[in-house]
Amino acid sequence: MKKDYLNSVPAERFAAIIPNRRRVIESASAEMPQYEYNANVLARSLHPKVQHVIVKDIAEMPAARLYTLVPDQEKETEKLAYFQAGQYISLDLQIGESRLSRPYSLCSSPSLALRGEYQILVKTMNNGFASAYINENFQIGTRIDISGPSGFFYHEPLRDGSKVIGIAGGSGIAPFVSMAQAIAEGIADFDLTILYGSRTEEEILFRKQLDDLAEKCERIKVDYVLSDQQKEGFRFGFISSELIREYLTDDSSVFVCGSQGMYDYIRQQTQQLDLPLRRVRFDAYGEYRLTGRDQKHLDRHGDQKYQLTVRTNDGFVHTILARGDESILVALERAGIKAPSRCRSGECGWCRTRLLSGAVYTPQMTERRRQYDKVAGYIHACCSFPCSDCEITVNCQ
Amino acid sequence: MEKYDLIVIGAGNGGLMTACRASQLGLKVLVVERHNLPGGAASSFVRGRFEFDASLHEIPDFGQGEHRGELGRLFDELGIKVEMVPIKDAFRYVVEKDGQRSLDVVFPHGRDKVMKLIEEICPEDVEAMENSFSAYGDMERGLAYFGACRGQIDPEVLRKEHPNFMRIMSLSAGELFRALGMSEKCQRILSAYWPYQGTDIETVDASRYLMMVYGYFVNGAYVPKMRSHSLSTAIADRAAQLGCRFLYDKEVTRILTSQGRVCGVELDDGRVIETRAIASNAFPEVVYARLLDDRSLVPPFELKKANARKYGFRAFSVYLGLDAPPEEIGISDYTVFISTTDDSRLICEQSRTRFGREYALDVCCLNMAVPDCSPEGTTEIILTISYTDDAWADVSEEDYVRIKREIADQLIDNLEKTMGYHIREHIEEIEIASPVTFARYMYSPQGSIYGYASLKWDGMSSRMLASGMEQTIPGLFFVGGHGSSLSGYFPTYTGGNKAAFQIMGYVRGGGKR
Repeated sequence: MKKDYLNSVPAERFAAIIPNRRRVIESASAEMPQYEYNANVLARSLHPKVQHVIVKDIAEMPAARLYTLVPDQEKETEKLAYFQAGQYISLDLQIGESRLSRPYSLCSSPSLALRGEYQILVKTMNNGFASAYINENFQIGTRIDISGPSGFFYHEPLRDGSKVIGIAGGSGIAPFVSMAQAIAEGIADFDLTILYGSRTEEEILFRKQLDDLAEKCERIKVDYVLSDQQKEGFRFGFISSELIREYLTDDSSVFVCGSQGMYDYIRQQTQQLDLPLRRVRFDAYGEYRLTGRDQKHLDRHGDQKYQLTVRTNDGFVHTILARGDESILVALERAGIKAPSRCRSGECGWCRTRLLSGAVYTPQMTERRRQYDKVAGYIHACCSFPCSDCEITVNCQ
Repeated sequence: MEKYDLIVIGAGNGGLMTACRASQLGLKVLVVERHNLPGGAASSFVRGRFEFDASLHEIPDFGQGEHRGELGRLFDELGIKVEMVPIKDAFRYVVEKDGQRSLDVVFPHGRDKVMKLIEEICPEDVEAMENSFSAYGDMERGLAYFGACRGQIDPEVLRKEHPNFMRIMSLSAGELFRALGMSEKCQRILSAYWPYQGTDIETVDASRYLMMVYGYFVNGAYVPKMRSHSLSTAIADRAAQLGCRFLYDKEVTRILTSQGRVCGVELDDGRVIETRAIASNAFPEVVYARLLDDRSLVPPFELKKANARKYGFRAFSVYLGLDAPPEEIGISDYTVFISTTDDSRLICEQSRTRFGREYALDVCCLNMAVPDCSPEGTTEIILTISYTDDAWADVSEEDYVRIKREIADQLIDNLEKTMGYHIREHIEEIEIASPVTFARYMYSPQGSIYGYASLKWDGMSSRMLASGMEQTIPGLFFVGGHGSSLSGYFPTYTGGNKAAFQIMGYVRGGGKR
């Protein structure tokens, strides 16, 4: 092998490396350097970790309330983050001893956020611990902490059809109200046909607003479907594959927002339509409730109580009880441990935590963990149900 | 009061490796990370049925069995276990403009295979190519000498035994290729890897470029079976096993000093924790201007250095989950570098803006190395372009998503046209990351993913030679892409490892260097 292959390069150049470096550095300014740029400012304002807000206004709706939230300037929240129509925010709540979170879709237009307002719809659910608390206790002036806008339930033109069939059940109408406004204002660019299922006409939420939007903007259509009431001008029954087919084109995407039970039903309907997965998108639905699919777990562990040892990142060790039919996140919240969480349905990963010992059950519907996390013993607390005594680590907020 | 030997700010590659090695050396270590999981850019995210790697395409010098590379040995030594998968070919390089293809070549891994290819496509460059492999060998030997004498170099030994190493250290990659007598064509083909260095081949150091390119050619490239998240988590878990403590979802808001040296940190929850040393995975300017309690302690030279430096690449990536297998999409390569020109200087110049007329698009399809990385019958690909300047400085909150989409749209368009892939009708999941996204997760100025740019005066050679001489506040060490080893997985891991030894020396020496 030749050794002299670089003889053309003068050896003295090596000695010049450091003097060159020094010369450039010495000629620079000795001021404090800039460390934040537009990308950093934008990242922070689009994705704040927390937004302190105040309830500015409350509107009554059938079995629900519409809250208008504005920045809490006293707590140094100057503005609200912009979002994509269909996204949600997560509310931090303290109810008695419990510290918990609840996700709510933003139902106002993204443009309203630029003017410093968000709107969320809170429907009092049957056995709804948090929703009942909110609707009984929130008043004008109530201060709350919410997350930055989150979630992936928005129209992505590069992926979705330009005609969206929005299937909403009950309060699941909220993200579509935001989308419809965004379309009417020219912020979003797609056609939206909402198939809105309610039990009775009286239970329809945002009726006037939806009708006005449909009247004003030809890209928006609303078809009300009543399950418990036959009435002229309304569809009767459930949102079936036949009904969806009426609106389906080659350029359609189906967006679904409602309850877990409704998702099971709609999934069956869309399967009959032979739609590829990419054409059907479900919003995160909040808490997963164990059902017949999870019978094996329920039979063995449903009525059990297990001991949960919690090591928090502030150095404390708590020993609490966890029910087999409730998620680990709920057990933590009941015990007043403020564990991080957002979507509560497995997809955001905010509640990722390490299972040091013990076994948990993760329903297949909620399995959104990273591949390595599954083998390395990390769980998403919001959709992990204990099968034994467990020990976990938690990053307290 | 809690007291540590070392507090690591940020659990990126550099921070994690420093923490792991320092714990293994017996130091009492605490890692504070703002995010809820380790890794920084070495992370992954799930969308629907797909899991995408946020940043990693491939790692050099891992190796397997008897060809275990430096990085593989480092992981072994520390007891970090991660399943790695070899990548078949080095890269495919396609140069095409306005439908005119001027180059399309697949570079293999393995010295013999590379030489065989050169015989075919650049027969007149066989000798120059052989010599470039010799240069790589000389470089490796020189670096080994440097490592062994821990900064106490004997100039006589260097001159006598490592003359070619000294010469290579003083050259840019382009200068080296010319000094080897390489043809223009061969030089341009070898320059395909430049995007992994974040600067054109006339600017990047020959030392760095050789180590990477020939590291790949000789030892092959590897990718973890379960994304870079498995690397980060495995390192963090191993460090924890060695006694290291981790605080996630917590932020260091202040670095405390006493008598001119670091002595503690204050967290966002108000807690104060004492420490003898700090390894910052956060950029120096963030430490100096935002975190430090007494700014007057920063040596003026360090301030000047921070001001003199430029940032490395800011990336723009489109992550696509497709509902058809690779063969149906038309994909047959792991990495394709698609470029409108083979002149890396021209592209670097045009990459100052959000979308230049000349551009280089890097396409990576993980299924070609890890077939089951996504469900059967699906494919995931990642498209990346990079910026050599603060190209997103003028974007507002309101326009942000629209601009992201427009660029992604254009990239998909160009990819379909150039490679004939069928993408649009198969998009099941899409995520778009801009410099703002990287700024969100890494908190790096301008969203830089490559630390400071490798400039002629501030490349691997100059940083390496200067590393013992330039000192900041006692007890403060920098690790990560902005550290002295430059950016990338290999440099930040090995750099973090080296820093741990320096820190041990400082701590055990009672605060003396």
